[in-house]
Amino acid sequence: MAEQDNMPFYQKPEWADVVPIPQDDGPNPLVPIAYTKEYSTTMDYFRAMCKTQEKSERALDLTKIVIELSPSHYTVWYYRQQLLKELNKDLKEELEWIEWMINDHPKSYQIWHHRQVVIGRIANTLFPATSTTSTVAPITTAQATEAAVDFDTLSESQKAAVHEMVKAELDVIAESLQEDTKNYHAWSYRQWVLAHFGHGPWWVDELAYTEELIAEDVRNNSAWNQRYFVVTNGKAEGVTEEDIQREVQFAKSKIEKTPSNESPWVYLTGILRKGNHPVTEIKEFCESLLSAPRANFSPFVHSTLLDIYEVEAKEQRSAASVEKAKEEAIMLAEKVDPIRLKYWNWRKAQLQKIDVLA
Amino acid sequence: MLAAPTMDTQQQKTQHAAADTPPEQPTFLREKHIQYFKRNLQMLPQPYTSQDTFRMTLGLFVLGGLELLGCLEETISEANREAWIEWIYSQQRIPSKDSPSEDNDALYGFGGPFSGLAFKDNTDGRQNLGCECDSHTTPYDTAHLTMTYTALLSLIILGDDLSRVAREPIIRSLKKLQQPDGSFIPCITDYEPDMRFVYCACAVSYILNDWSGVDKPAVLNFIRESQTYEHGVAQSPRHEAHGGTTYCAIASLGLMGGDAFLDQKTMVRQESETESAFEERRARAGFVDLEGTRRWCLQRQTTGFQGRTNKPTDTCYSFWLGGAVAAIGSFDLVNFECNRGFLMETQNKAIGGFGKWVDTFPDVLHSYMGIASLGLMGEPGIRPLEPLLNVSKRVEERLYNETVFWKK
Repeated sequence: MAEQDNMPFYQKPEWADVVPIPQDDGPNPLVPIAYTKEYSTTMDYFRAMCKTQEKSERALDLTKIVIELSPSHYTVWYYRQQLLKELNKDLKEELEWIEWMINDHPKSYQIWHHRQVVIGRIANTLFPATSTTSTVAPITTAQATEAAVDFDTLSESQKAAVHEMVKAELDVIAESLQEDTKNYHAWSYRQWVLAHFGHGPWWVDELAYTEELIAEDVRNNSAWNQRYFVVTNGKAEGVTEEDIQREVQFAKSKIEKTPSNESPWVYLTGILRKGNHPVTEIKEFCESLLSAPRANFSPFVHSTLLDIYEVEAKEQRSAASVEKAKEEAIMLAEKVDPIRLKYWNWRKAQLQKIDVLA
Repeated sequence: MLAAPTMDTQQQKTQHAAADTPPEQPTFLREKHIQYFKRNLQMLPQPYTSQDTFRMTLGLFVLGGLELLGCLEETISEANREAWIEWIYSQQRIPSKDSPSEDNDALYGFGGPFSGLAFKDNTDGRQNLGCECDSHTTPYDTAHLTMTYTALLSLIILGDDLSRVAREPIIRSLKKLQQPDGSFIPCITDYEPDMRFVYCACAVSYILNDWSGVDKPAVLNFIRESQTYEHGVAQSPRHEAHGGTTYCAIASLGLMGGDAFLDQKTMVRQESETESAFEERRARAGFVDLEGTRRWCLQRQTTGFQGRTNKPTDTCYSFWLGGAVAAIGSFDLVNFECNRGFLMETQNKAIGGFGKWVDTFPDVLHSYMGIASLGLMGEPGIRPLEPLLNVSKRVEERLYNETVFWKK
């Protein structure tokens, strides 16, 4: 028994009838890869399965073996998704395997997307989707997932089931994010989970989650981006003035602690724009930071002030504002951000073009 | 037309280096990099197995690297160049004569060499046209947009005139791969709708000199939507601003040309213009705030460049962000000294090539990108780079003058 388990799959009797198809690379191929024997033999069998489009348990097993050897293979996942459907497989089991794969290959696009497909299918069994966009026979177009869900229209029991599923998914993603808090794929999938099931109660928790991550590492820009996503997409009615004010305060408090951290600065100016507030609103805040010894060396205090004085100079055609803006550009170029000397000098030259009152 | 550099002989290179580089500056190890690419050209080591399906792209990094180093023809014999042109064409998926059904559109272009379809050589006097592909023979082996883009560039680098490229089926496939939101998926069986494949679709359309497969207004909308509150561009809307996808977006706008490079923020309605005419003009602009995007890109420079705010500096972003800034005509605002200094650190002194970080093992992607970034800065011994296609200007000229879809 144990001996058979260690045996490569292709030496087992259930594979004896399959005629492997070797890779025909021609007499002189471009950049051949030094494949291991395990990989090339596995692929020979995979080619044989693809050719007959076999829909069987062993084909499903083989997709798993190929994926573990080459997780970024861009069509084996599609084959597997078809097989899961055709063979009516238990998708919960699939989720467990994916979680294990995510641990090993957190940076594979395909694994995260596969999870999205499977979760979409499970969700669809809870409540039949209103519409699906599929079927370009005979090759079905790969699709994001099943149609999105409108949480508000669900029954109470459906709402509870969805909420439970979303929470479980967010936990799986959070676990992966613990290993790498800036994993782009994990964050992309997290946004999909949050948005796919409509405006459920998980959005409130998500704001707290970003706060937690930012408290852990205030330079985690992915967490800041997620916060912006939650604030601007979390409510059916859209972002309110109250939200904007709260977020402005939140960003300011983080800036006061670490003024040289770019993340809260871009967040602050981004949130102001979102709320149609002019950047000049934070002039006093920035100027007050200048007297704080640490903050005075922050390039972002000075670059934000440069922006503010430039806006004032243009709006009021004020020569005094041009001068103040120039001082900031010089400060940036010469003292606090000399790596961008050429950029700040260029900005200074742009100030020259502002038409000021005599 | 821009002339290719004429510093191909070792002697001239040495003179150049002696004249331009102060003695304390670390040296760009051109010869080592040539050797590095030559070794990988013969056989990519085993760890590349997991990237098997992207072998066409790995091939471009190696060929493109030798091209940028100005030694493609002297390194690769004519017989090999011809053989590899045949190999690349053997990976082309073309419509099957038996079932030319429209259902199979989206399958065409170039793909990975894992099909198991027989390699057809030209021994019987016929040239290799690729493999006939339909849903019955190759459902799990379609073309992939990235491979189509990189195969086309490799063909031109090797001296092919693209006369065997199945342009019309590729254009039909592009139409099927574009999504309602304007993004592209790489192939019909892989749903990754994002900026990377928008770029590949634009580059393919540009090389084939035919934009009829791309809904440009939809692409412009997708690009604008993907510009974040930071002003960098994300992989798709609402995600985090990222150097690689910012390059993809800006280069796509550059390849589309015309009004795509306009900036909504600074646009002003003309007095003679109606509100709706102005809105129409705004919809043709690719940038939400060009000044913000320029600044975000330059802000990524630490020594070399980081790909996202507060992330580590990484060799490949010296190209992704350098190329993005070059595309908007602001490359002179980059701090060359710091960028070069970082790249000299990630350059492998023993075996050539560039690693992702200092002291990481080199790989062909980072090696190509490191050299491409040095090329943007005019490093002696590297051919000038065309930032929109990410290939030497010499190859770009060849596209215009020697390939069938462009030459007069």
